Formats: sequence, C-alpha cells, structure tokens
Amino acid sequence: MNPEFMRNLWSELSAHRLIAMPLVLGLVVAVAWVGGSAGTAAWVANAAIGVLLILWGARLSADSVLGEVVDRTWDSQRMSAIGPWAMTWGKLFGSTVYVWYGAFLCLVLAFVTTHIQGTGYVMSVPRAADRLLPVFDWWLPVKIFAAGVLAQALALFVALLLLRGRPSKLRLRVTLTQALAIAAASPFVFGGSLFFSPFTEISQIQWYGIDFPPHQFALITNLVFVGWAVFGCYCLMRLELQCRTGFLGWLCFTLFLPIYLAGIEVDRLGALRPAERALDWWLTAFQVTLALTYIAAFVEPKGILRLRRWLHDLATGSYERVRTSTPSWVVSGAICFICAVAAIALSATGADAVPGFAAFIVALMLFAVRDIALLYALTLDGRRRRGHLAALVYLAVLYVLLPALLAGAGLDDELIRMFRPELGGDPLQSTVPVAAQALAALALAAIKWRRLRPLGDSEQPAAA
Amino acid sequence: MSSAMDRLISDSVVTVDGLVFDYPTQRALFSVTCRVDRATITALVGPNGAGKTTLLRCIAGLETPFAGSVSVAGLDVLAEPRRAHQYIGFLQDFFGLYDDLTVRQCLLFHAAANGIGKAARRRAVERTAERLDLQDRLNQTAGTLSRGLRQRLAIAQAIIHEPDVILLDEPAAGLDPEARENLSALLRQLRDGGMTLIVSSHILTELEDYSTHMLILRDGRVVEHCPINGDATAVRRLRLVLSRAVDGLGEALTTRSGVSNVGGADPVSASFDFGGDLNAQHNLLSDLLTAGLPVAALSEEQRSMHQVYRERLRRDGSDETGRGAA
Repeated sequence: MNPEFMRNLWSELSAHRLIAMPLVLGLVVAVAWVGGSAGTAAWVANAAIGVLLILWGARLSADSVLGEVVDRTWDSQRMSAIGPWAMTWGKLFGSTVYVWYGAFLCLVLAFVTTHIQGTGYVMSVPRAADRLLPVFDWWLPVKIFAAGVLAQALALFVALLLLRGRPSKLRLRVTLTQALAIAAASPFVFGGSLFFSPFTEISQIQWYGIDFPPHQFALITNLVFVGWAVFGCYCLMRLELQCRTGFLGWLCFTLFLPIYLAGIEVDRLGALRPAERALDWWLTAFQVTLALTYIAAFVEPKGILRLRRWLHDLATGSYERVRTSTPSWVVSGAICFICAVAAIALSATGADAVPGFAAFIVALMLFAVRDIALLYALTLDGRRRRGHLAALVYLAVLYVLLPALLAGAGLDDELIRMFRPELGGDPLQSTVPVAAQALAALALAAIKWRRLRPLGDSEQPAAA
Repeated sequence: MSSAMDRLISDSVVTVDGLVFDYPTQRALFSVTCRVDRATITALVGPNGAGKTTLLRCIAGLETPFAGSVSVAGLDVLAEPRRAHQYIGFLQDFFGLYDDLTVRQCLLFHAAANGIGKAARRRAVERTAERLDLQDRLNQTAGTLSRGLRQRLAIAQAIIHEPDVILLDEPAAGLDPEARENLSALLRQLRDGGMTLIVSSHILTELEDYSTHMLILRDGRVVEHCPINGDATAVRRLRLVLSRAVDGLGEALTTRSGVSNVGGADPVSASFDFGGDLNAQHNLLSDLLTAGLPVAALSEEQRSMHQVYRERLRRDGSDETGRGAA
C-alpha cells in the first residue's frame, strides 16, 4: 500500500473517530427529520456531503502539505522514496479519507430518507429545482462529490504552490487556500446556469457545435478540471521531491484552457459570421493566455537566483536545463504572443476592421511587459510578500488612480490611454507611451539585477 | 592518479567540491570543498551563520546550490537527489514527529517510505527499536514521549533504512545531561556499525566525546578540516621544553622542516604545529639535540576541541586581517 496513504489511514481513522462520525451525522439528520420531514432530512444529508467534502475536505487537503511544513515533517517526506504520483494521491485521498467516510454515510442517509419520504429533490432538470418528484436524484450527490474532489485537488494544488515560495504564517495560508478552493468549486454544486451565466437562465450550451444541457456541461467541466488540478498537483509534487520537471505540463494547460473556453458558445455567439467567430476565437484565446501569463508571473517564485540560473541556461543553450528553469509566464507569454499576432492578422483581413484594434492588442502586450518587469524589479531580492504587495499597489496606482486623476482633471482620452488600455484612438499615441513605460520598468529591473548580481558571477551553476 | 589519492577518494563517502550556495541577498557558502571518510564522525562547527545547516541541507539534497558538486556514496546528489536519499539519513535541528501515531507506526511508515519491502519492514522496525532502546515504547504514541525519547525516535526514523551517511543538525539541543550521554554512546555505536556521521553542534565538549574529525566553517568557508585525535600523520601541536634558557629558540624552530606556527616561545619552552609522523618527530628531536639544544622534553600537546576551534578561528581572523591589509 502507498505508505503516505497508509499513514493517513492510521492518523485519520481511529476507532473513536469511526464511531463518532455516524453518530453525529445520524443525530443531525434525525433532528432535521423530527423538525421537518424525511424530505428535509434528505436535503440536510445532501448538504452535509457538501460541507464535509468541500468545506472540510479542502482544509484537510491544504493542511496535508502545509501542516507537514508547520510540524517539520516535510523534509523527511521529501527525502523518502515515495514517488511524486504516490505522494500526490496518498495526500489527496489519504488526508481526506475521514470526510469521504462521512460523505458516503450521508449518501446512504440521503438515499434512505428520500425513499422513506417517497419524493426527492430533482436538481438536474432545468427550472425544476423546486419540484418534488418521486425519485432519488443521483445528479445532486454526483455533482457534490465531483465538486468535492475539485475543491480538495485545488486546495492541494494551491498549498503546493504556496510551498514553493517558502512562506511564513502557514496556518493562515491553510485558511486562505481553503477559501480559494471552496470559491472555485462551489459554483459547480449549484448548477450549470449559475456557473456559465450567473444573471440569466440558459437552456443550452454549445461547445464547438456540440449541444449540452448546462448541468451536464458543468459536471464534465468539473471532472476535466479535477484532472488538471490533480495533474498540477503531480507536477508541483515532482518539483518538491526534486524530480526534473519542465514546462510541458504548464504548456499543455496554456494550450488547453483557451481552446476549451473559446469553444463555449452561450446564445450570443451563434449569431456571428464565420470570420467574426474566428476573430472572436483568437481574441478569447489571447485574453485567456494573457491572464495565465499574469497569474503565472505573480504566483511563481521569482528572485535573482532563479532568474540568474535561467539566463545562464539560455546562454549556454542547454535544452534540458532550459526546460526546467524557464519561468511559466514565459511559456504562457509566448502562446499569448502567437494569439495576439493571429488576432491582429484576422482583424486586418476582416471586412469590419475595428479602428485601432491592432494598436490595442500591442498596447496590452506592452502593458504586460511593463507589469512583469515591475514585478521582477520589486521581487528580485527575494522579499516575496512585500514585493508582491508593492507591485499590486503600484499597478493599482497605474491602472486606476492615475487614469481617474487624469479624467477628473478633464484631460484628453489619449493621455488616459497611456495608463489604461482602451480600444480606439491613435495607434501611435496608444502604444509609444506604453512602450516607454515598459522600457522604464525593464531598466528598473536591470538596475536591481546589477545591484544584486555581484554575488556569484564567477561560478557556473550546478547541473541540477 | 596516485594510489594514496585513489585510497582517499575511495574511502570518502561524502565528497563536496567547490560548493557555492546563495541566498537572494547574500552568499552562504563560498566554494566549500571537503571529503568525509567512511565510518567517521565529523563535527561540523562554526559560529552562527557560518553556513553549517546550509551545507548539511546541500549534502542531504534538500537544497540546490548555485555551483559545485556533492556526492554521497558515489552518487551525484545534484543529478540524482532521489537515489542519493536512499543513502542518507537526516535529522534536522527542529525535527517533527507524527504525534498521533505510535512509535511502531512511525517506524513502519518510515520503513515503507524509504522503500523497505513489506516482508522486511517489521524486522527493520524491531532491529532499529532495539538499537535505539525503544522496544518498550513501540505502542506508545509519539506525542507522549519525553524530549530524549523523541530524539531517539527521530534518529531511529532517520536510520531505519540503514543509510551510509547520517546528517545530524544540533542533535543534542534541549537534551538533559543523561540524554546527551546516551546520544553520544548511540552515535559511537552507529559509527562502529559502519555508518558515517556528520554532526553539527555548538556544544564542543560533547562533540569531543565522539567525533573523529572536525570541520570548521566560518562565513561560508572551510577554515579547518582535521582529525581530532589519534592520527599520527596529521598536523599536531608539539611542546618543547629546554633544561636551560636559549636565546632565539623561536627562530631556531621555525627553520626546521615540518614546523610552523611557533607560539609561546620563551627562552626555555615553545609550542608549534608539526606536520609529520612519529619518525619525523624522532628526526626533529635528533636534529635539535645535534644542534646543541638542551632538550628536556618534546611532547604532543593535548588540546581540547574547543582550544583547537578557538585557535583556528583566531588564526583565520588574523589571516583575514592580513589579507585585508594586503
């Protein structure tokens, strides 16, 4: 048996806890029954599955690595012979085994109480969530179970991401990780319509011409993202366990996400002409990859040591080393650049060319260069938390406060475009000032780099 | 390559070569090079911030240095950290245990986690528990153990897979005198069993009990790496006593082969480092007698580890001042 899973079984499934869980759950469901009906008890049992798997499960999952660091047992795990995949699933399902035990008990309780009542809540049929039908609707627990796995996998993923920065105040970060995972997984519980179109009811989702009922599409999406989250955990676990890990996993996700999201059509897109749809596709892909570039730049550990190693690997031209030292934002940025070029080319050949579209896309890319350079300038010395906070403050000043100040002073829109990307306007005036800002930010990063560089110019990096 | 060098390398179970480790704003290790022989106990000492823990973590393959190489039991730790881990046991200064597991479960988990097969696992647990005198505690939960017993359990976890090299960072911190004595005995026992230990500690008197070698780090550089006792080929501190005063004794000694760092020279006695074996010492004595010096005694100074440490750091400090002045 997987040693990590076995250890978790020993820790989590004591005789006392095994007895306590059914007693507590039985009591809660019984109170709901006495106070309401068997139907109320079934609803409470289903809700308890969500509480156990999503709320509690996410916390346990995040704690399975962050807790190890707090308790100073993580290094001994890193030195063990347990492989990254065994460690991933051992932690993911081992740390949460107790809540899974509770969730299956709740499922039994929901099934039993529904049959006693003779009616059940049907959540899978659109507009029928409030109807009571004489069936047990398996969709509801299936959705909650899937959302539960997603919340737990995401929590483990975020926890592993946090570990890469060697953060402090880890218990607080467990709560933060739990909150993020719950926020990401919860919409899947409440149905497809809410997830894809929160303000309007939609009856159908088309994905590359294939029709799906929203709740089905939400479930498939949930399961696909469970796969990506677990794969992400595996990749990060490889890094933690010091296995050589390149950017291929992130590259695949950067390719997958725009393809997946650009394929979703909700009502509006069906009316577009083929040429418009192609442009729309590339524009969506551009936006998604640009967002991924920003996320990767913010989330990934930076600092001069990593940058120095990457630049050295680039200079020596060793693909094997470059593969493992290239920052993820560079990978997303490259795909984003391709999408930008494609979108500009399509917009230029289209009949209804939007004035200033190309300049707008170029300006967005330049803004990204500026922001990432600024982020590096502020985090090169390894002060992650302070550096990131400072970067966020400066970006808020540049994107929000300055344009607001200029607008309040009644200044020209062209001037505001220097700090906030907007479609339209003169191409040169939209791009040249932003390019100047990007250069200034790069110069700032270069100055910081020079100041920190004397540390180790003479030696060659180790071949790890 | 000479046979002596061959032997040196083959006997070295840990080889660190040109290791450079940087933190974002400062360098922690400056081209550290050292070799640690099999079945020895090396005391890794140095002031706070000298780079001891960083060096141990690099040897353990838990940190990736900027430059240099580390090999353990012939394996390149940087290229194959996971394979190298099979040959290393590491006890950190602030270690953790799974407090809600019993001692047996802790050991079983570490046996399994270190790749010991199911059939051999229980035997490994029994053997290690016996070695660490934990047989009577196997069913006790780790969270209820005393500090000394927790230390024993942590060491048991680190050695259950019979590693070639054990790295211990401040293993005696927080232990009472009796537990420290037990720890010393345990470390000697592990060395006698063929394991190689590198022990970082600030408690030099205790290190002296069991260490065979001393590796002094200061400001990320190796200041000294030498055997502590009993190696006739190593540099030793000798003390010469004359029966009557002779002017210029210091100068007379400095010119002799193998003699260096002449100190405390007064007309009737002097101390100096001598880098030769017992034959060379005999030749030196003959030489001094032939030169007409009234030698009353020539003996090896038994210096404590603490004295050697202080002296070497002081000398390194003055070297540094000299270098700075140059």
